[in-house]
Amino acid sequence: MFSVMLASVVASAQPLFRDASEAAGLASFAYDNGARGRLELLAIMGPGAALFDYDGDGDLDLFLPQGGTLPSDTDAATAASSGGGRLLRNDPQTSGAEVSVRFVDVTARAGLAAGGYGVAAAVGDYDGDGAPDLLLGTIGGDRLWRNRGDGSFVEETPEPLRHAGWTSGASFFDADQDGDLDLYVVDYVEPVAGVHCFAESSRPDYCGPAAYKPLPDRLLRNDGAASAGGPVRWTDLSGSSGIARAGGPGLGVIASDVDADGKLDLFVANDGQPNFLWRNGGGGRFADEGLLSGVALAREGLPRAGMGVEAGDLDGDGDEELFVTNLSGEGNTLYVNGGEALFEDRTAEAGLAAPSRPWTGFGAAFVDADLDGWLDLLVVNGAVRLAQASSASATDAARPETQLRQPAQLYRNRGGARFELMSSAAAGGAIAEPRVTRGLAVGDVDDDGDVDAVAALNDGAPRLWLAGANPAAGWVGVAPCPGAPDAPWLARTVEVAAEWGPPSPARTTDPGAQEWLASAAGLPLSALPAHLRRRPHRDGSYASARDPRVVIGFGRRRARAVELRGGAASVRTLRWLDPAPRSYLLWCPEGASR
Amino acid sequence: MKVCRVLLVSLLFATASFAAEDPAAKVPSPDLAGLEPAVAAQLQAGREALVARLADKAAKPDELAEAWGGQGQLYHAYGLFDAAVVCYREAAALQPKELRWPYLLGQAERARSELAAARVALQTALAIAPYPPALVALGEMDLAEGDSTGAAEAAQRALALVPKDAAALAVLGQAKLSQRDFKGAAEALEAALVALPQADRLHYPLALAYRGLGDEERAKQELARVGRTGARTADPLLEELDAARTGELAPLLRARRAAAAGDWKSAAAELRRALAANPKSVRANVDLGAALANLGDASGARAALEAALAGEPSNMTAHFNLGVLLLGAGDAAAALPHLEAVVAAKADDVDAQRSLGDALLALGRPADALPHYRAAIAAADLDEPSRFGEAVALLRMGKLAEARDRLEKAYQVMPEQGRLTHLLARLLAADPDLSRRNGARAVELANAVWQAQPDAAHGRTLALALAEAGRCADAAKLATALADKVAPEERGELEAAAKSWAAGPPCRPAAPAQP
Repeated sequence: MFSVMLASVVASAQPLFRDASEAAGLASFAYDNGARGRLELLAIMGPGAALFDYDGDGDLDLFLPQGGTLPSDTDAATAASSGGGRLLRNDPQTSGAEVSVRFVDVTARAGLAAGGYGVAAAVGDYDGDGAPDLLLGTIGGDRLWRNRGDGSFVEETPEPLRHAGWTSGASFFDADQDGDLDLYVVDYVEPVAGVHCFAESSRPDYCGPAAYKPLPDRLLRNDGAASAGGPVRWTDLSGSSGIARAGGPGLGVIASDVDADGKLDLFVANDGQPNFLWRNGGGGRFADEGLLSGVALAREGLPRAGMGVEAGDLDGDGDEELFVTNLSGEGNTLYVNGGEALFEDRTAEAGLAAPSRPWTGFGAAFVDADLDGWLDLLVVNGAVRLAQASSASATDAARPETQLRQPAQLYRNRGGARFELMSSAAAGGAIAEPRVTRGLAVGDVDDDGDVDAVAALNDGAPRLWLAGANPAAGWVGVAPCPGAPDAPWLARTVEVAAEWGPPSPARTTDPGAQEWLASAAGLPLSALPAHLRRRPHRDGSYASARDPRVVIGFGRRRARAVELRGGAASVRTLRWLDPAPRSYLLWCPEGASR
Repeated sequence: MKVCRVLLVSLLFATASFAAEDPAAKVPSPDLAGLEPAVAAQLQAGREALVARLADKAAKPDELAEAWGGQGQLYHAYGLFDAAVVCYREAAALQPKELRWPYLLGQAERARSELAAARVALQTALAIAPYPPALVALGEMDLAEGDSTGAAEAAQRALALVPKDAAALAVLGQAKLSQRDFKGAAEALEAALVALPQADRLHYPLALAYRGLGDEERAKQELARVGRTGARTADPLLEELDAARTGELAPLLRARRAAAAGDWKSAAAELRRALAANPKSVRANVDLGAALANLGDASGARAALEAALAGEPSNMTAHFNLGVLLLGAGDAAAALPHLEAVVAAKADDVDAQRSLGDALLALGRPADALPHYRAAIAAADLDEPSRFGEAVALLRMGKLAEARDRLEKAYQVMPEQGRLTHLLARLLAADPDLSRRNGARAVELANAVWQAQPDAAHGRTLALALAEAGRCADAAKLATALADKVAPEERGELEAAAKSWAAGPPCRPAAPAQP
């Protein structure tokens, strides 16, 4: 009965996402995967995307890694593609009450013009000046740029990042609790071209990671700058931390304090080998406890093809669940945290196994898409083998990778980590359109309080999906003050206290809002947890970086307080009168202010 | 104009009617481009035979069902599931009392992630005849859909047909695990492992069951035994598909999957099938060499690898495998040219550099071995065997001080590597140059490896360290306790040392610093 009512609500509402790519000017930024008709694994794994406010103007800008000529194509014309990446500034266009997103290429102006086969992006304010810095992960040598804070960047790539490898993702996080951001870099496999594989049918196909040698990941400690404004010094702790001794074909990484000991641990998804859970022992030492923690393998004891990752409190018990996307035929995996970092694979019980089984998942993000207080799940897909390709997809014979197209999926959290797959009508036809999607970056691109998404395609230009959550839903956002450093913000948890009251009266004249209120009238006020917790983060997903701001939806309920916990600072509580503010609160290092 | 339209419609109907009667139009025609020629020819011939059978007006329904089903099996065998499903559906409709078609249809639907259709087909099969693999498949799908009750019921039904079936017990155990009935899960999974000990993947859910019961030690023991081989019910209908395959590539792929699961026996069998299809296949011979080596058949492995090299003298995988195989068999001289060939082709191949170092060391050429260990370390500075080899080479060259320095550096980045720590402790306790000894540090390091692994060699080093540190009574006590546990040729030496140390200080050991 409950599910029937939910379905009717969903069916009556407007689609949650609409495609705004063309209007935003993204059509001319297609990814060049360099495949040139060949079946090369190297050419089908990128790209990611990064949403971050590089210029401090309060809105999210976009960085897109660019591929180009494969590093193995030594005889190819280097002018075939410039590679590197593109920085697109968000210049919102206002027309009356309408605000539309418009991106403008500022790559050269920002000093980010660079070559290299771009795959991944990661963001973190490693120098603590409040301006987010940028890492471009490539096949063949990464680029690290420090944001000067004046709209331009300067390259500061340390030696350990320059070596030729295959960086598939990275996380800036405070590994040693010293108040600055260290860096974990995920490496995939030795990037060797010309390896030939075939499918069960004997037809040539893309190789999997087992055909290549896995590469160990890297951990770099931030030792600060020798002088004010000088380059940050990095020390390679890959060996002494224990991380480099465990080579794995890694693809996704997210930092999360899974054991609630105040130190950020790392979850790394490996492709076809056991995932790592690097428990932070302090002092720059990590130990992989993936097996005993229950996140290395799927429930039946097999490693899966881990791609993208996400962490979040899905069931409201205060600790973070871990999610990883996998290969078609396997289904994605949800590891529910039972406390003290003891996880259980509860994918099937959560309703996430069967609907994900036909698809190969890459980027993933927990977002409260409908602003009802529960974290929903957005997953983008795209096959990696022709044998898994949908024959129904329209394809380009000269570009075999176009056969890898698959639809994205939005799962609605019905409460307590029980999900249902939303229909394309409810989620939005744009996200259901088959594409070869790899990266997924989420964030409130249009600053309206709901979380939008950028899907990074291997076979074309990125897509911008703007959310249109019910306009009557209450929400509160919390953002770091402009100029506030990342590390203390990323160490916090935003918590909305439980002062749930009766439903808010419909005070809006918005027709969409009234429709939503009417359709939701029969909904029981499902038992939301006593506290809604969200941890700001930029990492996770696949090869991408997300908006570090936090948005918490209330649906039709009331909430009158938000607290910021964590770090050395005392708990800061803000209270307000009904209705919920539907705006961003600012957190500044000395406290929060509305 | 109106007349034309009517005519056009009539023509369309005529075309449709003709198409409906064209037997070839009903038979799926998957794209065969790019397939191995032998496979494409087999599939094409099968399709043509089916079309001919369908055109035979005298053919009986059972004969048509066999023809459809046979072609479905062929498509199924090569992973062409969409085409297989079409064929199985036709066969099942023509032969509604035949178990094979709905069962194989269910498996093909499952393979293409159409779980609802798979469920219907498998239940149809079970309505025809009880078939345990169908029940196990349903149980596994129930698990995937979060229905632990359904999974447990399916498993119990399978167990009623085949008591102690490992696959059914595995489903039951995982269903109990899902229900957080950890005791029940442990019982079922233990029973599955008794029935099929090689199903080492089950140690993982079993570990989680023990973890749920609060027995972390037992969980760790089970985790240490986790492998990749699952439990399977004997399934003649699926196994029949294997016989349908031809060509080199399909068995080669299956062999690689079997090898990845640690099932070297199946891998070798598949590789022999690949070689039967293409006796000169270099990749099949290379892989067969690896499979046979893992099965302990050194001579068979050598023959396969030599055959590979006869076909492709520059195949570096074959050279490397043969080199390692010969080295492992004690023939370092024969291994040498193969490993040198690999290193010449790829100087940053860590395994090849290290193996070449090992071969040279075995031939009594430590000075020649040293640069190869160092090349391996340059490419992978955390490669413990190369670090160990480097230290041993230095020791054999008499460069004990340099060996100690290199071990100290290795210890900085790999303090948990027992072999390196042990060697360093031994050097610090018993270096012939007394000025280089450090008893206190030797005790610290030796104690760490002794605590981690209290065997005779580690105990002996700890005793030496204690003696060097002046703790003569402790050293004597430990040496006495160890005397019964060491090899007979070392016993006398240890007993003499214990006696000497028991007399009190000074008791510095005179033992040589050899690994």
